[in-house]
Amino acid sequence: MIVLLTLAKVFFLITLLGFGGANGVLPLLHEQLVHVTKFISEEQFVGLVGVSQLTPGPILINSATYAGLTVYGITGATVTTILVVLPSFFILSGAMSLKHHSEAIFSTIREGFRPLALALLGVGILVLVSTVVFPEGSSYPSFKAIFLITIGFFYIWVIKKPSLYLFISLGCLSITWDFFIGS
Amino acid sequence: MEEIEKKAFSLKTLFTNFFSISMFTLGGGYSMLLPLYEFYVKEKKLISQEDWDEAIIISQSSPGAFAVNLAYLVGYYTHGIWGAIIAIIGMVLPSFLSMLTLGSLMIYFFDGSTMKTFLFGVACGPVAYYVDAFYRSAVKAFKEIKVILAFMLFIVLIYYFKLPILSVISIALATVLVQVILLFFKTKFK
Repeated sequence: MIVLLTLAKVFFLITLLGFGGANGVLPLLHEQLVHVTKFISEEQFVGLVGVSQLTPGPILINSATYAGLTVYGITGATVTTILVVLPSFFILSGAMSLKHHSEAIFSTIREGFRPLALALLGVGILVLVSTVVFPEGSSYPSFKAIFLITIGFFYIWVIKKPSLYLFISLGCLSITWDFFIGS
Repeated sequence: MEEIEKKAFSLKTLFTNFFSISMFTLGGGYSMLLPLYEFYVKEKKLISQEDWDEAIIISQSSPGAFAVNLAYLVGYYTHGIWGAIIAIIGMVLPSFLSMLTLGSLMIYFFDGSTMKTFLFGVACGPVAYYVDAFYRSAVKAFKEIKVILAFMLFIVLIYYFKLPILSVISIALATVLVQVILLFFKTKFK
């Protein structure tokens, strides 16, 4: 029960203070789930990032549902999903009630948060790179991860947006690499 | 004429529309922008262009998932508060259900090393995607020296002083709130 309450608190805080969508929330999620509460391991966090790209729908909702599912089963998944939606529901209801001067206020907020959103995106990249390229317990970088990220770069450079084919082919390439070269 | 069209567009169609858009779009909220815009602004003309521009600003500057904020506003502009609730449910349900089925399978098979290797490969994709997104928004935002200084301040606070990210966000929130309150009084007591 304490686990469930802590999970609920973590996700409530993340949605209340998580500016910048799923990209900005990623470092927060890593800090809260892996370091502060220690609910999931580094390896499971990599799994969380992977799975939430594969299923349809908003990525933040996907990660919340998967984290809840890993920590506390279906009850946890329901609680985290509801708590990811509720704060933004109430905030927007409040925003709609002061509608006549909301546009100026909201553009001020967006301009004010632009540096923070960029910084969070940068920290998110560093977190992902450090978990994927420099895995725990090994002293040298994983060449497989560098190879796969390079392929991802070329894909994004040419096609301009990520797609399911990219993610599935990266996963299959990873299995092939392990099969022929070893991890 | 407009009234009849608005009535014909019932809550049920709103729900099925959001359900199908969420079900068949991968890649999060930003890839849902185009189908929603095509349907509600271009095709059905339920939302005016001004309202749509405002909705994007509001949903980008509110905390939480971008797609959920957008669903709230689209539902609110077409059907009021009930429309907002129905649109959010339609947006969240496909994601929740598919994650329950796929996620349970993943957790069941997660001990298998093949599944771990597969997800490791999938997680390499977002790195490339995030670096691309970072580059594109940095080119736009780094024209002002103020933005660059604030950006470096946040990075130093998180990486050098090891402040928890939640408190860094709270600091930023406080400064932005002060700006907003000043703006509010400026417009009110003119």
